[in-house]
Parts: sequence; C-alpha cells; structure tokens
Amino acid sequence: MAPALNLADIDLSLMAPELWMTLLSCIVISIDFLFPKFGKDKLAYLSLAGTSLICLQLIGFFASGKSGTLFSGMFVLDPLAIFFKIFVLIATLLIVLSSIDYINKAKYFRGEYYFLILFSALGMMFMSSANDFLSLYLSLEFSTFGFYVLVTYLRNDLRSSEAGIKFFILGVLTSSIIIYGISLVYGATGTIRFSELMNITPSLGAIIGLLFIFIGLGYKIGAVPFHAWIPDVYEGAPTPVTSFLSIAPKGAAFAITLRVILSTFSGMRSDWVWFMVGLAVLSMTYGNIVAIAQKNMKRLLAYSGIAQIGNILVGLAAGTKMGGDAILFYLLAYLFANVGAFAVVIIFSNLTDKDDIDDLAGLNRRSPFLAFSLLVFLLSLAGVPPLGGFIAKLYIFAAAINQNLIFLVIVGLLNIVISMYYYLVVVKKIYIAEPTDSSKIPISLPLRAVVYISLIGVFALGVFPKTFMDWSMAATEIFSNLALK
Amino acid sequence: MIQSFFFYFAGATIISSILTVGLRSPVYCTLALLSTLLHVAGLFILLHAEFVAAIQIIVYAGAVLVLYLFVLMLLNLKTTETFLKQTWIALFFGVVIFVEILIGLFKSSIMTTNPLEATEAVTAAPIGNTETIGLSLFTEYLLPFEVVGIILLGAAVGAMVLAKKIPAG
Repeated sequence: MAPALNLADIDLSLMAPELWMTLLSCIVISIDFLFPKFGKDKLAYLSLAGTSLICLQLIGFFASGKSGTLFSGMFVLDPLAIFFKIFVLIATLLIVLSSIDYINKAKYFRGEYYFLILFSALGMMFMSSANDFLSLYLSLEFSTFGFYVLVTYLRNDLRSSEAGIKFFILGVLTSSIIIYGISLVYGATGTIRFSELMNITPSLGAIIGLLFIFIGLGYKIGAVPFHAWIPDVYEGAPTPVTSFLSIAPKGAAFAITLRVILSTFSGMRSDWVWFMVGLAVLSMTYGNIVAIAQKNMKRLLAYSGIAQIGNILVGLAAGTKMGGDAILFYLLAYLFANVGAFAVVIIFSNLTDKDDIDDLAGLNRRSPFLAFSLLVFLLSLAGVPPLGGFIAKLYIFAAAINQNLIFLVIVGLLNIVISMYYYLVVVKKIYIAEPTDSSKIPISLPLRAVVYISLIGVFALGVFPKTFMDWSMAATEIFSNLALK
Repeated sequence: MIQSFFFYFAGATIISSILTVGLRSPVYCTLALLSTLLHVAGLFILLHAEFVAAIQIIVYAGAVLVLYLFVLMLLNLKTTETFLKQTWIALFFGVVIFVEILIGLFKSSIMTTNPLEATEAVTAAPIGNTETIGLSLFTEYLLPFEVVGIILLGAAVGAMVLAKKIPAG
C-alpha cells in the first residue's frame, strides 16, 4: 500500500495556535532585522499582544470543546493539551513582561531574545500535543533548543556561559537516554503510537525502555537524583530566563508525563509506582534540606523548586484522575508564586546587580509593596492558607491518601515544616534586619504588572479554588477511566 | 556467507568502539569512532537498509567526524590529560545495565521471531527502500519533518546570538 496524504481531509484549525505562534515569531525576527530602528520594546509589546490573542483563541477552543487528532494521530488537541498550552502562554506573557527592563540593560540581541522566548514557547505548545514518541522527542528537543541559547545570553558573564555549557551537555545526554529508551520500547512492542501502546501486554523490554524514558523526563523536570544541573544553571542564567526555565518546561514535561503514565502505561502502574514514590521522597527531602544552606536567592528558589517537583510527583504516584487534577492545580499555584518571587528578585537585581539573600535585608523599609509581595509568594510556596499553595498541597496529599500512600504524605508534611524554616529566614531578613542602603526601589510598569498579576493569581487560587478545580477536572477528562480502579 | 559478514561487521564495531573510549590520544579516538561508524553502516547494508547506510556514511563519517577533527586540531589538546578515577563505578553500573538489557532481550518476543522473515517482508515492498522512506517522510511523517524545519530556523538564530560579535553601543 503506497502511503497517501490528502491535505483536504485535514482540519488544520486544530493546530491554529501553533501556526499563529510560528507566524508571530517569524514576524518578530523579521521586523528585528528589516527595521533596525524599530524600538525593541515595541517588539516585546508585539509579542505580548500576539501571545494574548493566541491564548484567547485557546480559551475559545476549550469553551467550545474542540478536540481531535492530526497527521495519523501524531498531534492531538484535547482539553489536557489546551490546558497546558494556556499554562505555557501565561508563563510566556509574564516572562516577556519581566524581561523588558532586564534586556534593555543588556543592550544587545534584544530582538533575537524575544524571538527565542516565543520559539521555546512554540516548542512547548507542540510538547503538550505530542501523541507519539517521535513527536515527544522532537518537541522536547525543540523547546530545550531555545533555552540553550537563552541561558548563555549574557555573553560577557562567565557564569552564564558556564551554565549554558552545563545545560547543553546534560540536555544532549538526556535526549540520548530518552531516544535509547524509545528504541527499546519500539523493539519490544513494534509501535511508538501512544494509542497503540495502550493495549500492549507489558514485557520486560518495554519496562526497561520506559525506565530510560522516565529517567530522561526526570532530568527535564529536575527531580532528585537527576537535579544536578538545576542550581548552577538557575544561578548563571539571566534571571527572567531562570524564571521561565523554572516553570514553563516543567509544565510541558508534565503534560507529556501525564499522558505517557496515566493514559498510555496506566496498566503498568505496579511497575512504575515505586519509581515515582522514590523520586518524590528524594526530591522533597533533598530539595528542602539543601535549600536551608543557600545564600543566593536564585539558588534558594532552585532548591525549593526541586522540592515542589517532589510534591507534584506525589500526585503522579497516586496515579488516579484525582492525582492528575491535583497536579494541574498545583502547577497553576506554583506558576504564580514562583514567577512572582522571581519578579521581585528581578526588580531588586535590576537596581543593585545583586541577588544574595543578605542583600534583601530591610526590604520592607525600602519598598513595603515588594516586601509584602515576596512574603505572599514565599508563604504560598510553603503552603500557608488562604493562599493557592495551601489548597494545592491539600489537594495533592488528599489524592495520595485516597491511594493509601500514607508514608508519602507523612514525608510531605514533614517537608512542609522544613521548608517553612528557610522561607521564614528570608521573611525575617526582609522585615526585621536593618538595610545597608535605605534608598527607595523604583518599580517599572511592566514588572509592577507581573507582580500584581501573580498576587491576584495566588489569592484567587486560594480563595476561589472551585473555579480552577473545575477547570483542571475538565482538562483531565481523558483519565476518567482511572477513577474506577 | 551473510553470517560471516555479520560477525565481521559486528565484531569490528565492538572492538573499535572499545578503542574509541580506551585510547589516549583524542585523534586516535576519533579515527576509531570513524571505523565504528563505517562498520555500523556495513551492518545496515546487511539488513537491506542501503539508504540508512548511505546516510550513516555521509552524515556521520562525512560531516560530523570532520567537525570533531576540526575541533580537536583547533583546541590543541594534550594527550597527557589526566582523567577522573571513575573506572570501577562506571564498570559496575555498566555491567548491571548490560545484564538487565540482556535479560530483557532474551525474555521478549524478539528472540522467538525469525529475523529472516522480517527482512523478507521489507524487501518484498513493490517499490525500493529509499522511495518508501521518501514517501512516508512526506506523508505519514509530514508533521515532524516540518517541525524540524522550524527547529533549524531557531538553531540559525541561536548560533548567531552565540557567535556574532556584540555590536557596540
């Protein structure tokens, strides 16, 4: 049978958001080199406008329940994919806003910077829709490609170059591990389609292959023991890029992980559950304990991020639809709290070029608004009511208790206590310690917007969790068959 | 006949890949790698995958290895570089993973199906091997193919950001 492709049968509107995003990034890079006099700030606002329109279109897709597959099942649009695309785009919007001041200071390759941000976002949108191992691998490469360059963006800064090299080498190693795992799965089962893999009987070859793929994905989400790159890369990268790196690729990687684990390989739960439990316990404990010793704010947030990933993995270990819902909700809460905390660090380091915790001393005297915002974000990360992080942690532990993973919940609760300690050390610094320099801190409009949006997000998730829970429950509809087990 | 060819190519691949990691001088390592890649291409020909074999030689032996040699010559590496002492740990984990994969292979269905039947099914295609790859690349796998095109655009911009001289002012 000769393969045939009839473009007339294909409903390309299913991938309209990706097509618009490709167009938008091409427009940005074209304007940048065709009209060098065109203000680079305007390129940022153009990216913002385009991204918001695509985001609105996706919300429209979600409301109208649009779904389907394209290209013989390689690309899927379903509520889960739409959720993660909106997630990635919200992160992109906030990051472009927080980049404007920072990139204006750097003065070079500003147009290319915004192009690369949009380019990575495009890769992550494809990642949310990946429906077989080939498109999974390609989109994973796609999204990390932009980040390799973005991390190395500060070319005069040795730490940035070092971070870029480390990130690149580990990223390439990870990709080779993933593709080796894919080849093992293909050898054992004869297919790489998720829809066909659902019905296979688990064999040892497939399980080993799956293990390799999990290890690769573990690197991407930065779970212990695959976390070694995180602190150095986070510290060396430009702070807005760190902020982007800490949230958007993690979300997209969880889109893939959820699809692979809960839908495709849910029948092999007894084989992978111990792996997830181990990763969760190690990530939570290691991240929180090492965070205590950190002197640099970016490194502190890096280790606290590792611990947060551990919390999310608790939901994955539960392996139910409720676990999936909880992961989506948790990611939303983490998005706003984390991007908000990084925005405060960006505002502070734009003025002082420093990001050590000691430099934040007496922040309350210099800018009560910033001090209060940082307090709210850190408390949300720690999980204090009535903020988003509290409901998220509650939701994820409830999902674990339903599956009798009591041990995991106990470890999680102990870790909340540990994390409280280092978050409160920072709070003590900003409220009680005396500032060395008591000049006021100016906040530019775009960064003020980021902080306000994040504050609203954190409070809205905590005070009106019902709306967002309904949203995440609707998004994980494809896992509803799991609830029966 | 075919079997003796297989054992030659497979054996030479293994020996030269051991030399790739075992030799001291970086240039010799690269040449051993070249021999590995050429012998793997021979294995592909035995499998009737002549297109993959050609790609293997053109891309890896032709492009990638020349790039490696360039880097080695530009960096002017010393052959007396000392290495981290990880041999025993690496050996331990390597053996464990190797045994695990062997067990997986022998337990899976690959061993019970006759490999000759599989190759016959491929050669029985009405049109040639290369044509089949081309056709499925532009029909069934059109999306990944186009996505790779966008990745190349990003790579070009990225290379420029990393390598171009920073404009003054």
